[in-house]
Amino acid sequence: MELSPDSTILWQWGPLRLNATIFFTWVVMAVLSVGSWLVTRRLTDEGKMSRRRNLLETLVIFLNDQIRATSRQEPGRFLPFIGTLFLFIAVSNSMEIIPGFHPPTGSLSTTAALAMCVFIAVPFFGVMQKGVLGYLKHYVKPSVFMAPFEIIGEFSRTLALAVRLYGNIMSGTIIVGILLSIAPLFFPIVMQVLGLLIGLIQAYIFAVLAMVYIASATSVQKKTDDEKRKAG
Amino acid sequence: MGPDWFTVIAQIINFLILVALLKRFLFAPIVRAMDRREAEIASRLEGAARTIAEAQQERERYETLTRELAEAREEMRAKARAEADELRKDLLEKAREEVDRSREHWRESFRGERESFLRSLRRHVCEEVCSVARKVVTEMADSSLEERMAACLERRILEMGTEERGELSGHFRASGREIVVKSAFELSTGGRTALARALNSLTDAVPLRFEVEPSLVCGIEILAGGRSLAWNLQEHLVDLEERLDEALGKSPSIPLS
Repeated sequence: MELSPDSTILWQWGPLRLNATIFFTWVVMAVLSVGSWLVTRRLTDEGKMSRRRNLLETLVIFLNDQIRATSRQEPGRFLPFIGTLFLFIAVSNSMEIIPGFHPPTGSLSTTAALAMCVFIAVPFFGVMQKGVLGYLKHYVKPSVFMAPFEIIGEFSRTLALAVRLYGNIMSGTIIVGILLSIAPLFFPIVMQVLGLLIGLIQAYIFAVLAMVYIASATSVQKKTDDEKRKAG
Repeated sequence: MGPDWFTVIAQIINFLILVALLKRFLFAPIVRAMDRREAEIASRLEGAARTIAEAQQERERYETLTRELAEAREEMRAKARAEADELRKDLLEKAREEVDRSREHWRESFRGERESFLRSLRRHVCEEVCSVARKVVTEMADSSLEERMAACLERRILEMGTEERGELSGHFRASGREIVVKSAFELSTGGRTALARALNSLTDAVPLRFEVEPSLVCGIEILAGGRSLAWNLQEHLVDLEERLDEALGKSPSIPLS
Protein backbone atom coordinates (compact mmCIF):
# COMPACT_ATOMS: atom_id res chain seq x y z
CA MET A 1 0.00 0.00 0.00
CA GLU A 2 1.25 3.43 -0.93
CA LEU A 3 0.93 6.06 1.74
CA SER A 4 1.29 9.02 -0.66
CA PRO A 5 0.16 9.59 -4.24
CA ASP A 6 3.54 11.28 -4.80
CA SER A 7 5.08 7.92 -5.45
CA THR A 8 2.67 7.14 -8.26
CA ILE A 9 4.45 8.45 -11.35
CA LEU A 10 2.14 8.85 -14.30
CA TRP A 11 4.55 10.46 -16.75
CA GLN A 12 8.19 11.48 -16.63
CA TRP A 13 10.38 13.55 -18.90
CA GLY A 14 13.83 14.10 -17.53
CA PRO A 15 13.66 15.71 -14.11
CA LEU A 16 10.03 16.62 -14.71
CA ARG A 17 7.67 13.99 -13.54
CA LEU A 18 3.91 14.00 -13.36
CA ASN A 19 2.83 12.14 -10.28
CA ALA A 20 -0.71 11.40 -9.07
CA THR A 21 -0.64 14.31 -6.63
CA ILE A 22 -0.07 16.91 -9.33
CA PHE A 23 -2.45 15.20 -11.73
CA PHE A 24 -5.31 15.05 -9.26
CA THR A 25 -4.55 18.61 -8.22
CA TRP A 26 -5.04 19.61 -11.83
CA VAL A 27 -8.29 17.67 -11.86
CA VAL A 28 -9.50 19.58 -8.81
CA MET A 29 -8.33 22.85 -10.31
CA ALA A 30 -10.14 22.04 -13.54
CA VAL A 31 -13.33 21.13 -11.68
CA LEU A 32 -13.24 24.36 -9.66
CA SER A 33 -12.26 26.64 -12.51
CA VAL A 34 -14.58 25.21 -15.15
CA GLY A 35 -17.42 24.93 -12.65
CA SER A 36 -16.97 28.56 -11.63
CA TRP A 37 -16.66 29.69 -15.22
CA LEU A 38 -19.84 27.86 -16.20
CA VAL A 39 -21.76 29.57 -13.43
CA THR A 40 -20.32 33.04 -13.73
CA ARG A 41 -19.96 33.38 -17.50
CA ARG A 42 -23.45 34.84 -17.86
CA LEU A 43 -24.19 36.72 -14.70
CA THR A 44 -27.17 38.98 -15.08
CA ASP A 45 -28.92 41.00 -12.48
CA GLU A 46 -32.30 40.34 -13.98
CA GLY A 47 -34.50 37.32 -13.81
CA LYS A 48 -34.41 34.45 -11.44
CA MET A 49 -31.05 33.37 -10.00
CA SER A 50 -29.88 29.88 -10.92
CA ARG A 51 -29.38 27.31 -8.19
CA ARG A 52 -25.66 27.01 -8.92
CA ARG A 53 -25.19 30.75 -8.68
CA ASN A 54 -27.15 30.74 -5.48
CA LEU A 55 -24.87 28.00 -4.13
CA LEU A 56 -21.74 29.98 -5.05
CA GLU A 57 -23.13 33.16 -3.53
CA THR A 58 -24.02 31.31 -0.35
CA LEU A 59 -20.49 29.94 -0.26
CA VAL A 60 -18.96 33.37 -0.77
CA ILE A 61 -21.18 34.90 1.89
CA PHE A 62 -20.25 32.08 4.27
CA LEU A 63 -16.56 32.63 3.63
CA ASN A 64 -16.91 36.38 4.01
CA ASP A 65 -18.73 35.93 7.32
CA GLN A 66 -16.08 33.55 8.59
CA ILE A 67 -13.25 35.85 7.58
CA ARG A 68 -15.01 38.83 9.12
CA ALA A 69 -15.72 36.95 12.34
CA THR A 70 -12.14 35.71 12.62
CA SER A 71 -10.21 38.79 11.59
CA ARG A 72 -12.72 41.53 12.51
CA GLN A 73 -11.67 43.16 9.24
CA GLU A 74 -13.25 43.59 5.87
CA PRO A 75 -12.89 40.25 4.03
CA GLY A 76 -12.31 41.62 0.52
CA ARG A 77 -8.49 41.29 0.45
CA PHE A 78 -8.39 37.88 2.08
CA LEU A 79 -11.26 36.23 0.27
CA PRO A 80 -9.38 34.90 -2.80
CA PHE A 81 -6.60 33.34 -0.73
CA ILE A 82 -8.65 31.95 2.14
CA GLY A 83 -11.54 30.99 -0.14
CA THR A 84 -9.26 29.13 -2.53
CA LEU A 85 -7.64 27.28 0.38
CA PHE A 86 -11.01 26.19 1.70
CA LEU A 87 -12.47 25.24 -1.68
CA PHE A 88 -9.37 23.38 -2.83
CA ILE A 89 -9.07 21.32 0.34
CA ALA A 90 -12.86 20.74 0.65
CA VAL A 91 -13.24 19.65 -3.01
CA SER A 92 -10.12 17.49 -2.84
CA ASN A 93 -11.33 15.79 0.30
CA SER A 94 -14.87 15.38 -1.01
CA MET A 95 -13.72 13.80 -4.27
CA GLU A 96 -12.13 11.10 -2.17
CA ILE A 97 -15.32 9.07 -2.56
CA ILE A 98 -14.76 8.80 -6.33
CA PRO A 99 -13.17 5.41 -6.99
CA GLY A 100 -9.59 5.75 -8.23
CA PHE A 101 -9.29 9.35 -7.04
CA HIS A 102 -6.45 10.09 -4.69
CA PRO A 103 -6.99 13.35 -2.84
CA PRO A 104 -3.95 15.62 -3.29
CA THR A 105 -4.38 16.68 0.32
CA GLY A 106 -3.40 13.14 1.32
CA SER A 107 0.10 14.00 0.16
CA LEU A 108 2.45 15.67 2.60
CA SER A 109 3.90 17.56 -0.37
CA THR A 110 0.56 19.24 -1.04
CA THR A 111 -0.18 20.08 2.57
CA ALA A 112 3.38 21.33 2.98
CA ALA A 113 2.92 23.47 -0.11
CA LEU A 114 -0.33 24.90 1.26
CA ALA A 115 1.25 25.49 4.67
CA MET A 116 4.16 27.24 3.03
CA CYS A 117 1.73 29.41 1.12
CA VAL A 118 0.18 30.39 4.45
CA PHE A 119 3.65 30.85 5.90
CA ILE A 120 4.41 33.31 3.10
CA ALA A 121 0.96 34.90 3.13
CA VAL A 122 1.17 35.91 6.78
CA PRO A 123 4.14 38.26 6.37
CA PHE A 124 2.90 39.20 2.89
CA PHE A 125 -0.39 40.62 4.20
CA GLY A 126 1.40 42.04 7.26
CA VAL A 127 4.03 43.81 5.16
CA MET A 128 1.33 45.02 2.75
CA GLN A 129 -0.34 46.75 5.62
CA LYS A 130 2.52 48.24 7.62
CA GLY A 131 5.71 47.80 5.70
CA VAL A 132 8.67 45.53 6.39
CA LEU A 133 9.95 47.23 9.53
CA GLY A 134 6.55 47.62 10.98
CA TYR A 135 5.86 43.97 10.43
CA LEU A 136 9.19 42.86 11.88
CA LYS A 137 8.61 44.93 15.00
CA HIS A 138 6.02 42.54 16.26
CA TYR A 139 8.72 39.88 16.64
CA VAL A 140 10.48 41.96 19.30
CA LYS A 141 7.36 42.78 21.26
CA PRO A 142 7.01 42.83 24.17
CA SER A 143 10.73 41.98 24.43
CA VAL A 144 13.51 41.24 22.02
CA PHE A 145 14.00 37.95 23.82
CA MET A 146 10.67 36.80 22.47
CA ALA A 147 11.91 36.97 18.87
CA PRO A 148 13.32 33.40 18.77
CA PHE A 149 10.13 32.02 20.17
CA GLU A 150 8.07 33.98 17.68
CA ILE A 151 10.17 32.65 14.81
CA ILE A 152 9.98 29.10 16.15
CA GLY A 153 6.21 29.61 16.50
CA GLU A 154 5.96 30.65 12.86
CA PHE A 155 7.67 27.50 11.71
CA SER A 156 6.02 25.16 14.12
CA ARG A 157 2.52 26.30 13.27
CA THR A 158 3.29 25.94 9.57
CA LEU A 159 4.51 22.46 10.23
CA ALA A 160 1.45 21.75 12.34
CA LEU A 161 -0.83 22.98 9.57
CA ALA A 162 0.82 20.72 7.03
CA VAL A 163 0.98 17.65 9.20
CA ARG A 164 -2.55 18.06 10.64
CA LEU A 165 -4.19 18.07 7.22
CA TYR A 166 -1.93 15.43 5.79
CA GLY A 167 -2.40 13.16 8.81
CA ASN A 168 -6.15 13.41 8.83
CA ILE A 169 -6.67 12.83 5.11
CA MET A 170 -3.94 10.26 4.75
CA SER A 171 -5.21 8.35 7.76
CA GLY A 172 -8.75 8.39 6.42
CA THR A 173 -7.57 7.00 3.09
CA ILE A 174 -5.39 4.41 4.83
CA ILE A 175 -8.21 3.36 7.16
CA VAL A 176 -10.60 2.87 4.25
CA GLY A 177 -7.91 0.88 2.42
CA ILE A 178 -7.29 -1.34 5.41
CA LEU A 179 -10.99 -1.84 6.08
CA LEU A 180 -11.57 -2.78 2.46
CA SER A 181 -9.17 -5.65 2.90
CA ILE A 182 -10.73 -6.72 6.22
CA ALA A 183 -14.47 -6.03 5.85
CA PRO A 184 -15.06 -5.19 2.21
CA LEU A 185 -18.86 -4.76 2.24
CA PHE A 186 -20.54 -2.00 4.22
CA PHE A 187 -18.14 -0.78 6.85
CA PRO A 188 -15.83 1.13 4.46
CA ILE A 189 -18.84 3.12 3.26
CA VAL A 190 -19.53 4.32 6.78
CA MET A 191 -15.90 5.20 7.15
CA GLN A 192 -15.98 7.06 3.85
CA VAL A 193 -18.94 9.10 5.04
CA LEU A 194 -17.00 9.87 8.18
CA GLY A 195 -14.02 10.68 5.96
CA LEU A 196 -16.15 13.21 4.02
CA LEU A 197 -17.15 14.91 7.26
CA ILE A 198 -13.56 14.94 8.50
CA GLY A 199 -12.41 16.29 5.13
CA LEU A 200 -14.81 19.24 5.28
CA ILE A 201 -13.94 19.92 8.90
CA GLN A 202 -10.24 19.86 8.04
CA ALA A 203 -10.80 22.27 5.17
CA TYR A 204 -12.63 24.59 7.52
CA ILE A 205 -9.93 24.26 10.21
CA PHE A 206 -7.10 24.88 7.72
CA ALA A 207 -8.81 27.98 6.29
CA VAL A 208 -9.76 29.40 9.68
CA LEU A 209 -6.27 28.82 11.10
CA ALA A 210 -4.73 30.48 8.07
CA MET A 211 -7.05 33.42 8.60
CA VAL A 212 -6.19 33.54 12.30
CA TYR A 213 -2.47 33.67 11.49
CA ILE A 214 -2.96 36.39 8.89
CA ALA A 215 -5.29 38.28 11.22
CA SER A 216 -2.72 38.14 14.01
CA ALA A 217 -0.20 39.84 11.70
CA THR A 218 -2.66 42.47 10.48
CA SER A 219 -4.20 43.12 13.90
CA VAL A 220 -0.72 44.07 15.12
CA GLN A 221 -0.72 46.69 12.45
CA LYS A 222 -4.12 47.84 13.56
CA LYS A 223 -2.99 48.12 17.14
CA THR A 224 0.05 50.11 16.00
CA ASP A 225 -2.21 52.47 14.12
CA ASP A 226 -4.31 52.94 17.24
CA GLU A 227 -1.19 53.71 19.23
CA LYS A 228 -0.01 56.20 16.63
CA ARG A 229 -3.39 57.87 16.68
CA LYS A 230 -3.25 58.11 20.46
CA ALA A 231 0.31 59.49 20.36
CA GLY A 232 -0.62 61.97 17.65
CA MET B 1 7.37 9.58 3.88
CA GLY B 2 8.82 13.08 3.56
CA PRO B 3 7.63 15.66 1.11
CA ASP B 4 8.77 15.55 -2.49
CA TRP B 5 10.17 19.02 -2.95
CA PHE B 6 9.54 19.04 -6.68
CA THR B 7 5.92 18.25 -5.95
CA VAL B 8 5.85 20.86 -3.21
CA ILE B 9 7.04 23.56 -5.57
CA ALA B 10 4.68 22.36 -8.27
CA GLN B 11 1.79 22.41 -5.81
CA ILE B 12 2.69 25.91 -4.66
CA ILE B 13 2.60 27.04 -8.27
CA ASN B 14 -0.60 25.11 -8.83
CA PHE B 15 -2.16 26.69 -5.79
CA LEU B 16 -1.19 30.19 -6.83
CA ILE B 17 -2.59 29.53 -10.30
CA LEU B 18 -5.79 28.24 -8.69
CA VAL B 19 -6.00 31.39 -6.55
CA ALA B 20 -5.72 33.48 -9.69
CA LEU B 21 -8.24 31.35 -11.58
CA LEU B 22 -10.82 31.36 -8.81
CA LYS B 23 -10.33 35.04 -8.27
CA ARG B 24 -10.91 35.58 -11.98
CA PHE B 25 -13.81 33.19 -12.48
CA LEU B 26 -15.44 32.88 -9.09
CA PHE B 27 -14.81 35.43 -6.38
CA ALA B 28 -14.54 38.60 -8.41
CA PRO B 29 -17.68 38.05 -10.56
CA ILE B 30 -19.74 36.77 -7.66
CA VAL B 31 -18.69 39.62 -5.37
CA ARG B 32 -19.33 42.13 -8.15
CA ALA B 33 -22.73 40.65 -8.81
CA MET B 34 -23.54 40.69 -5.11
CA ASP B 35 -22.40 44.28 -4.79
CA ARG B 36 -24.48 45.24 -7.80
CA ARG B 37 -27.47 43.46 -6.37
CA GLU B 38 -26.96 45.05 -2.98
CA ALA B 39 -26.70 48.44 -4.61
CA GLU B 40 -29.82 47.69 -6.60
CA ILE B 41 -31.62 46.48 -3.50
CA ALA B 42 -30.49 49.59 -1.64
CA SER B 43 -31.68 51.74 -4.51
CA ARG B 44 -34.95 49.83 -4.65
CA LEU B 45 -35.33 50.17 -0.91
CA GLU B 46 -34.63 53.85 -1.23
CA GLY B 47 -37.13 54.06 -4.06
CA ALA B 48 -39.60 52.05 -2.03
CA ALA B 49 -39.05 54.34 0.95
CA ARG B 50 -39.57 57.32 -1.32
CA THR B 51 -42.66 55.72 -2.80
CA ILE B 52 -43.93 54.91 0.68
CA ALA B 53 -43.31 58.49 1.74
CA GLU B 54 -45.13 59.74 -1.35
CA ALA B 55 -47.90 57.24 -0.74
CA GLN B 56 -48.08 58.40 2.85
CA GLN B 57 -48.37 61.99 1.67
CA GLU B 58 -50.98 60.98 -0.86
CA ARG B 59 -52.84 59.06 1.81
CA GLU B 60 -52.75 62.04 4.13
CA ARG B 61 -53.91 64.26 1.30
CA TYR B 62 -56.74 61.92 0.45
CA GLU B 63 -57.64 61.54 4.10
CA THR B 64 -57.80 65.30 4.37
CA LEU B 65 -59.88 65.48 1.20
CA THR B 66 -62.15 62.72 2.42
CA ARG B 67 -62.55 64.45 5.75
CA GLU B 68 -63.30 67.74 4.05
CA LEU B 69 -65.71 66.01 1.72
CA ALA B 70 -67.44 64.35 4.64
CA GLU B 71 -67.65 67.66 6.46
CA ALA B 72 -68.95 69.40 3.35
CA ARG B 73 -71.45 66.63 2.80
CA GLU B 74 -72.55 66.84 6.41
CA GLU B 75 -72.82 70.58 6.13
CA MET B 76 -74.79 70.32 2.89
CA ARG B 77 -77.01 67.69 4.41
CA ALA B 78 -77.64 69.87 7.45
CA LYS B 79 -78.30 72.84 5.19
CA ALA B 80 -80.59 70.78 2.99
CA ARG B 81 -82.37 69.47 6.06
CA ALA B 82 -82.78 73.00 7.40
CA GLU B 83 -84.02 74.18 4.02
CA ALA B 84 -86.35 71.20 3.79
CA ASP B 85 -87.65 71.95 7.28
CA GLU B 86 -88.09 75.57 6.34
CA LEU B 87 -89.81 74.61 3.11
CA ARG B 88 -92.00 72.11 4.91
CA LYS B 89 -92.97 74.75 7.44
CA ASP B 90 -93.66 77.21 4.63
CA LEU B 91 -95.70 74.70 2.72
CA LEU B 92 -97.56 73.67 5.85
CA GLU B 93 -98.17 77.31 6.63
CA LYS B 94 -99.31 77.97 3.10
CA ALA B 95 -101.45 74.86 3.11
CA ARG B 96 -102.89 75.87 6.44
CA GLU B 97 -103.54 79.36 5.14
CA GLU B 98 -105.01 77.90 2.00
CA VAL B 99 -107.22 75.63 4.04
CA ASP B 100 -108.18 78.51 6.29
CA ARG B 101 -108.86 80.65 3.27
CA SER B 102 -110.84 77.91 1.61
CA ARG B 103 -112.71 77.29 4.81
CA GLU B 104 -113.34 80.99 5.23
CA HIS B 105 -114.33 81.23 1.62
CA TRP B 106 -116.58 78.26 2.03
CA ARG B 107 -118.00 79.75 5.21
CA GLU B 108 -118.53 83.03 3.45
CA SER B 109 -120.10 81.27 0.58
CA PHE B 110 -122.17 79.17 2.90
CA ARG B 111 -123.06 82.16 4.99
CA GLY B 112 -123.98 84.06 1.86
CA GLU B 113 -126.02 81.18 0.61
CA ARG B 114 -127.67 80.86 3.99
CA GLU B 115 -128.29 84.56 4.15
CA SER B 116 -129.61 84.45 0.66
CA PHE B 117 -131.73 81.50 1.49
CA LEU B 118 -132.96 83.06 4.73
CA ARG B 119 -133.56 86.32 3.00
CA SER B 120 -135.47 84.57 0.33
CA LEU B 121 -137.31 82.58 2.97
CA ARG B 122 -138.03 85.69 4.93
CA ARG B 123 -139.22 87.45 1.89
CA HIS B 124 -141.40 84.59 0.93
CA VAL B 125 -142.76 84.21 4.46
CA CYS B 126 -143.33 87.91 4.74
CA GLU B 127 -144.89 88.05 1.39
CA GLU B 128 -147.06 85.09 2.15
CA VAL B 129 -148.02 86.36 5.61
CA CYS B 130 -148.59 89.85 4.30
CA SER B 131 -150.44 88.50 1.36
CA VAL B 132 -152.68 86.50 3.67
CA ALA B 133 -153.09 89.47 6.00
CA ARG B 134 -153.65 91.77 3.09
CA LYS B 135 -156.14 89.41 1.66
CA VAL B 136 -157.93 89.10 4.97
CA VAL B 137 -157.88 92.82 5.58
CA THR B 138 -158.88 93.58 2.01
CA GLU B 139 -161.72 91.19 2.26
CA MET B 140 -162.77 92.57 5.60
CA ALA B 141 -162.02 96.24 4.90
CA ASP B 142 -164.75 98.70 4.12
CA SER B 143 -165.45 102.40 4.67
CA SER B 144 -166.39 101.87 8.26
CA LEU B 145 -162.97 100.42 8.89
CA GLU B 146 -161.51 103.46 7.22
CA GLU B 147 -163.50 105.58 9.59
CA ARG B 148 -162.12 103.62 12.51
CA MET B 149 -158.71 104.21 11.11
CA ALA B 150 -159.32 107.90 10.75
CA ALA B 151 -160.52 107.99 14.32
CA CYS B 152 -157.47 106.05 15.37
CA LEU B 153 -155.20 108.44 13.51
CA GLU B 154 -157.03 111.41 15.06
CA ARG B 155 -156.48 109.93 18.52
CA ARG B 156 -152.82 109.38 17.81
CA ILE B 157 -152.39 112.97 16.68
CA LEU B 158 -154.21 114.23 19.69
CA GLU B 159 -152.23 111.98 22.04
CA MET B 160 -148.88 113.15 20.70
CA GLY B 161 -146.54 114.83 23.12
CA THR B 162 -146.18 118.58 23.05
CA GLU B 163 -142.73 118.44 21.61
CA GLU B 164 -143.73 116.10 18.82
CA ARG B 165 -146.81 118.13 18.08
CA GLY B 166 -144.82 121.32 17.91
CA GLU B 167 -142.31 119.78 15.59
CA LEU B 168 -145.04 118.38 13.35
CA SER B 169 -147.00 121.67 13.25
CA GLY B 170 -143.82 123.56 12.51
CA HIS B 171 -143.15 121.22 9.71
CA PHE B 172 -146.65 121.65 8.26
CA ARG B 173 -146.38 125.37 8.45
CA ALA B 174 -142.98 125.42 6.86
CA SER B 175 -144.22 123.43 3.91
CA GLY B 176 -146.81 126.08 3.20
CA ARG B 177 -148.56 123.94 0.69
CA GLU B 178 -151.48 121.63 0.95
CA ILE B 179 -151.63 118.56 3.10
CA VAL B 180 -152.39 115.36 1.15
CA VAL B 181 -154.39 112.69 2.93
CA LYS B 182 -154.13 109.32 1.17
CA SER B 183 -156.38 106.38 1.90
CA ALA B 184 -157.03 103.01 0.35
CA PHE B 185 -160.76 103.72 0.06
CA GLU B 186 -162.73 106.84 -0.32
CA LEU B 187 -162.99 108.31 3.19
CA SER B 188 -166.43 109.01 4.60
CA THR B 189 -167.39 112.48 5.64
CA GLY B 190 -167.07 111.57 9.29
CA GLY B 191 -163.56 110.28 8.75
CA ARG B 192 -162.64 113.37 6.77
CA THR B 193 -164.03 115.59 9.47
CA ALA B 194 -162.22 113.76 12.22
CA LEU B 195 -158.91 114.04 10.36
CA ALA B 196 -159.50 117.70 9.54
CA ARG B 197 -160.22 118.37 13.19
CA ALA B 198 -157.08 116.65 14.27
CA LEU B 199 -154.94 118.41 11.70
CA ASN B 200 -156.45 121.77 12.45
CA SER B 201 -155.40 121.33 16.04
CA LEU B 202 -151.80 121.28 14.75
CA THR B 203 -151.92 123.97 12.16
CA ASP B 204 -154.36 126.41 10.61
CA ALA B 205 -155.16 127.53 7.09
CA VAL B 206 -153.59 124.66 5.26
CA PRO B 207 -155.86 123.17 2.63
CA LEU B 208 -156.45 119.44 2.79
CA ARG B 209 -156.69 117.23 -0.25
CA PHE B 210 -157.98 113.67 -0.02
CA GLU B 211 -156.73 110.99 -2.40
CA VAL B 212 -157.37 107.28 -2.84
CA GLU B 213 -154.22 105.09 -2.82
CA PRO B 214 -154.98 101.35 -3.14
CA SER B 215 -151.37 100.38 -2.43
CA LEU B 216 -151.90 101.37 1.18
CA VAL B 217 -153.92 98.15 1.54
CA CYS B 218 -155.85 99.43 4.45
CA GLY B 219 -154.92 102.72 6.13
CA ILE B 220 -154.49 106.45 5.94
CA GLU B 221 -151.36 108.48 5.22
CA ILE B 222 -150.94 112.23 5.69
CA LEU B 223 -148.19 113.81 3.55
CA ALA B 224 -146.95 117.38 3.96
CA GLY B 225 -143.67 118.76 2.62
CA GLY B 226 -141.87 115.43 2.48
CA ARG B 227 -143.02 114.44 6.00
CA SER B 228 -145.66 111.75 6.38
CA LEU B 229 -147.87 110.65 9.20
CA ALA B 230 -149.68 107.40 8.65
CA TRP B 231 -151.69 104.71 10.12
CA ASN B 232 -152.19 101.82 7.83
CA LEU B 233 -151.93 98.12 7.79
CA GLN B 234 -148.85 98.36 5.61
CA GLU B 235 -146.98 99.70 8.59
CA HIS B 236 -148.08 96.84 10.74
CA LEU B 237 -147.32 94.43 8.00
CA VAL B 238 -143.79 95.85 7.70
CA ASP B 239 -143.50 95.60 11.43
CA LEU B 240 -144.68 92.02 11.25
CA GLU B 241 -142.19 91.39 8.52
CA GLU B 242 -139.41 92.85 10.64
CA ARG B 243 -140.29 90.69 13.60
CA LEU B 244 -140.55 87.64 11.43
CA ASP B 245 -137.21 88.53 10.01
CA GLU B 246 -135.74 88.88 13.46
CA ALA B 247 -137.30 85.64 14.63
CA LEU B 248 -135.97 83.73 11.64
CA GLY B 249 -132.53 85.37 11.99
CA LYS B 250 -132.27 84.07 15.53
CA SER B 251 -133.04 80.54 14.45
CA PRO B 252 -130.24 78.10 15.34
CA SER B 253 -127.63 78.27 12.63
CA ILE B 254 -126.39 75.24 10.79
CA PRO B 255 -122.87 74.26 11.96
CA LEU B 256 -120.31 75.26 9.38
CA SER B 257 -117.70 72.70 9.99
